[in-house]
Amino acid sequence: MKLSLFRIVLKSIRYNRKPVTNQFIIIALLAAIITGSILTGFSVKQSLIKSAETKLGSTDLVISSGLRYFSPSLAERFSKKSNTNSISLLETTGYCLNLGNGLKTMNINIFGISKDFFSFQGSPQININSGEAAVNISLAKKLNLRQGDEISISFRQLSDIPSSSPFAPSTENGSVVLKASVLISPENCGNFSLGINQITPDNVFINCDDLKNITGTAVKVNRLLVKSENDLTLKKTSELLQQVLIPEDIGLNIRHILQTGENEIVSSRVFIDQVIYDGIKKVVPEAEPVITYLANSFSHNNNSTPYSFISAVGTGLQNEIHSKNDIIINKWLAEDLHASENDSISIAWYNPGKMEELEESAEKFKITKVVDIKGIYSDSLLMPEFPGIAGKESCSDWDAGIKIKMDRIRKKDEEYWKEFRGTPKAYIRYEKGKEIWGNNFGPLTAIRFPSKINADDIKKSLIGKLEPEKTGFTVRNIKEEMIKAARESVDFTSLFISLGFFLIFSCVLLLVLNVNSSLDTRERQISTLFSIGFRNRWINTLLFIETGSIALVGSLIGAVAGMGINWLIIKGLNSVWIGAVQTDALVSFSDFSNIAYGFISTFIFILIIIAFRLRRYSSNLNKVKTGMHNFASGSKNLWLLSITGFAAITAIIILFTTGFNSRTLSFSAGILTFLSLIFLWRQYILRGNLRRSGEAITFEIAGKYFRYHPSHALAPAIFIAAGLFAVIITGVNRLEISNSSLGTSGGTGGYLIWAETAIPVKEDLNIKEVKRSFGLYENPGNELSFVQGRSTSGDNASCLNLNHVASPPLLGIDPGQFMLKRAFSFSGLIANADKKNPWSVLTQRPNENTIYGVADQTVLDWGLKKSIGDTLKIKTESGQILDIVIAGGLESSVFQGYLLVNKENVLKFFPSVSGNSLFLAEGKSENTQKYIELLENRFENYGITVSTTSERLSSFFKVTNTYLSVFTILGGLGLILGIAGLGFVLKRNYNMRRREFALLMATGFTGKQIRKIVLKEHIFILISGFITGTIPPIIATFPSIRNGSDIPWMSLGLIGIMVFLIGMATIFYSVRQIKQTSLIESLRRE
Amino acid sequence: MLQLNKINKSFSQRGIVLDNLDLIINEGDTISIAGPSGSGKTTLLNIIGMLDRPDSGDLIFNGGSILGFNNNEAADYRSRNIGFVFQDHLLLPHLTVRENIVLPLLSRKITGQELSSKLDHSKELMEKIGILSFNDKYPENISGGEAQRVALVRALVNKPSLLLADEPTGSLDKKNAETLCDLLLEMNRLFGISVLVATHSEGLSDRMKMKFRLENGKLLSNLK
Repeated sequence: MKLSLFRIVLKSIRYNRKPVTNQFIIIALLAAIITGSILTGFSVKQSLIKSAETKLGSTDLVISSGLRYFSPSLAERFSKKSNTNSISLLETTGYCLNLGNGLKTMNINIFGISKDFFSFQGSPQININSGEAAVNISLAKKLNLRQGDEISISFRQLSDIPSSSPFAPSTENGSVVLKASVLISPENCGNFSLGINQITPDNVFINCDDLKNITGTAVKVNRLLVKSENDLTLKKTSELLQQVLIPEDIGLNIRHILQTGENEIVSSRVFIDQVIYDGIKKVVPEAEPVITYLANSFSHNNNSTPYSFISAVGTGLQNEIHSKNDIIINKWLAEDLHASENDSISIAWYNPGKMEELEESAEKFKITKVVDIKGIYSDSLLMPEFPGIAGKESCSDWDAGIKIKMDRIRKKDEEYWKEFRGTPKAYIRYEKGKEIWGNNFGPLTAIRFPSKINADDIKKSLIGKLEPEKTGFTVRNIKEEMIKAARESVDFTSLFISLGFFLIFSCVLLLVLNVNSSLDTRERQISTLFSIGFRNRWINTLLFIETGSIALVGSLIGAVAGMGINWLIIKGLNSVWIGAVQTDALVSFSDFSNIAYGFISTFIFILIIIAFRLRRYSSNLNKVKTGMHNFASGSKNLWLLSITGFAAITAIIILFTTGFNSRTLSFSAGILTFLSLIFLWRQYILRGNLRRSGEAITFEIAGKYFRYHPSHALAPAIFIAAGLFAVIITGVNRLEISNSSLGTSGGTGGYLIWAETAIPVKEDLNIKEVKRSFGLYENPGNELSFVQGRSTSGDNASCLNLNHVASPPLLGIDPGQFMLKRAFSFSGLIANADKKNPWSVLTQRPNENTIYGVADQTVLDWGLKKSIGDTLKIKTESGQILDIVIAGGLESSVFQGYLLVNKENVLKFFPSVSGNSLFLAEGKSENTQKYIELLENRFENYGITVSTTSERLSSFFKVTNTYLSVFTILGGLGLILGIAGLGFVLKRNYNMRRREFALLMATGFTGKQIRKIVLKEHIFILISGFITGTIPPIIATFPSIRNGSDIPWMSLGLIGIMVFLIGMATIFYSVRQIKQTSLIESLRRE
Repeated sequence: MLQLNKINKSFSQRGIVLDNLDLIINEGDTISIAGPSGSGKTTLLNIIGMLDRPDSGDLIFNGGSILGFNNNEAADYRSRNIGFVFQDHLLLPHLTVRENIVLPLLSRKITGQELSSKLDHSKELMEKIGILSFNDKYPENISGGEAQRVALVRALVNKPSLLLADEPTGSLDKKNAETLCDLLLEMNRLFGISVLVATHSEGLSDRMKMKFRLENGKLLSNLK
């Protein structure tokens, strides 16, 4: 029979089947863990992709106008032009109340849909009649809603005019009572959402006709969904949109002016963006700008005329105003003021940028002409269509969004209004008007054209010329974006490999120990091969092929078993670890390539380990055994013990005297105690000579062996200690709200309350009158002071969102408030920032379209994947690209999820954000609960959710804490596995000491005595490891323990008990293997 | 002193090793047993030392059968009556020479007068054998011959009545082998210890009073 290398390997595997089986099990376990982790990463990404596809339904592209609105007819024209299926809808937010049981859910998505929506999404059977609403399952559960129940839906105003626009009327928020006729499942697009987030949205779908009934005007929409069957690119979509875009779509209307014969374009938003004007001017060069504003007063000497309109017109319309401070006034005003040509009059107006604060500005003008109210000076249409003013019968009926002092309005003023309406009483140059009244909503209220150009020509020439990006539209391939965000989401593969590090490490350790033990057992066989002329390389190859074959089969079977591990992890994430993922909709996915990847990576990893081990082993075969041994130095160890022991005791004393508050000191004390205990055990092992009395002597024999080989005792003890230390410290040291978190420099910034409203609050709650109007002026409301934030739409960039977020919501705040308070702490700042006054960086603007932003460091690292100094590009409301330079990273704070910018910038670039939806409040901490109740009561109609800032911070900590729990459990499992590996250590020690034990037996020791020696030795290892692994982490985390934080004592206790019991069981089992018969053979010379 | 009656021992892989073997060892006897490798010499010594048990037969020590001893009694029997010397000295590397020598005293509780007496005895032996100066040395610091002498002293420290030596000179050069042989006989002469040597060495064998050869499981009678 031919004896080949392969045959030798096969025979060897068969002969050594016991260690081979052990190695196979360990390798399979390792492969299962690694493949399971890989599949978990794959499953999470696939689940996110699947969730995104379910949410979007048939939607591929979305054309959005943000907070602006357009005509639904655009969808029809676009469909025709692009040969695609597209529909329009209105998307807004609000809150919903179940009228049957009073349950309320805040921050819901409200979709105003046409009858085509569900057909478009592939569920034509769903139909919502007028007076009915469809609610998704998630919201229905929260509201405990049954089909047919009545619900009240409240939402932010749907007016074309942003509520923060100058002279916008004080509009009521929308509200409607409907019957919840359909509860929609996710499969029927119930979870429809355009947001990139794995959290199931709360949706309600309303028939657009019902919205028409509420607003009383034709329904407008703000989203256009496109099903792209012919792979439309973004550029092509934009081009097609431009071709069908008509002025009316963006609220521009062309009208004829009887008095002048001119035509003009006015906007339903009142103010017109500069970019839109520029676009029109490009097409029709004769276009002239006009801005008409409401002056609070005209004054001359002691005479004053209240509340009058004044127009600033372009030179093409009025060429008699030569200088910026010249003014033409009408006769009525001249008479009222007793002013004449060359007199100087003063005009006062509310600064359009400071309407909330009602800041007044004033300037003097020189009268160059007094004109009659006729011809071009009798044009009442110059007054914009301010909804609260135009059409009112008297001045006292005005709702100008500002406080009108009625006592100032005289009878003659009312008469002027009745006769001339909003006909301006004065005219200035457009450049001047733009300078003083131009605002974030635009520097024009009308675009006028000479009479020679008729309205139809203007309209025709504009069709196909209005660039969507410059008129507030954005085109996104939402499906692609969502899938990309899911693909670049939190990497659960590396996360679970990191969390399961201890488990993997234990498997590797077990494998190495098993291979070592196997090599020791086979030392004679290997020596024989060596002595009969096998070269090291051959022996190495033989052993490598043998172990490699086991690794191959083990990795293969383990990789397949990884599917089970993946299933278990996904099950855990959907249930007990839901805090980490915020969804229970994850599904376990497996595919061939990932299983193959798990198999190959495990196999290669094991081959590398084995190759290193065998190389070391075979190189030792050549070494001449001199028998010389250097005993470890006890004095050096004593010196180290003294130093670490002294330092540990000192640290503990300081900790004790300072009230156990310093986490750094506590951690240092823990580490020092850990080290000193290790040195203490080492010192004990290296202690003095044999004592000669009774039982103590047998114990000393054990000690003698470890003095010779201290690492044989210390290595497993350190493994147990380090494992327990890591598991306990991770389990105990959870992120929690500490006193420092509640302080000014902490994550709460020293604020007590965090509140969010579904409907923005326009007013400044720190103003006395506003407080009074909201019922906050009485105790305890008067104690509250607020920081208010304007938030743009965007995808939550906090750790609660697993997706990679590219467009976070901007939160506009007043940095001055934080500068004064020195609130929050920065973990990093851009180089040119003032380190002493970091918030001041938000007051700077590097250039026109570049601003600075600040975010939580966690958001930068995980959500946005950006560094300080990087630039984030965001599209503004008017379509221009805004560069936001990341100027600073905040220490963990309540702002997680947002990118903080100066409020001025939000007003400038996102003027339609019509108020504040986010509030930080400070007051007296003992009244916190009262404040919460008060705010919930006073802002009920705004859909407010109020919590303490510490609760908000805790919700983010929960994610990290869940990961820590996962690490604790997996680490515990790894530790238990590692403890089981102690059996291999015992076996190896036993193999190395067989002859010693045989000799003891020959000299009269009984097997029981020998077992007792071994037992004591290994119990010493277990106990020393256990003590070192439990006491130091308790010291290291004492502040957390003392704070009574939510520590998983049960699982930690269970892990500790399991470690001890399994350790003891392993030791007893191993010791029982020591048998007289197996020792006798060792007495023969090898 | 010790009588082996019809001792039988077989192993599954090796077959019959001892076949109805009889042997009587009296006080002060010096006996050598020769035989080819695998003939059962070590097995015979292990059975006499109660490290191994025969399949059948009887082992009489000082008039009483000892085969019924449990493990503790067997260990006590070895501790009190038997000294072992092996081909390899089997000194524990982590113990000093002195500690290796007193190691057998730790196998049972020996206190007071007995302990002092045995410790004195060990010193006396060390002096006689010429290894007193090695007291605090470790095995790695002494030669093979010296280590084997230490092993001899360790075998004698409990004042055994029978010294079992399994190829004691197998690892030694001629000079050291002769020295060890002299020592074995001197111990026999001084303390009246019976010596049973399993050896291939004719030189050592020739110096024993009785010579046996173990073949096919049987002891062939005294060839001297």
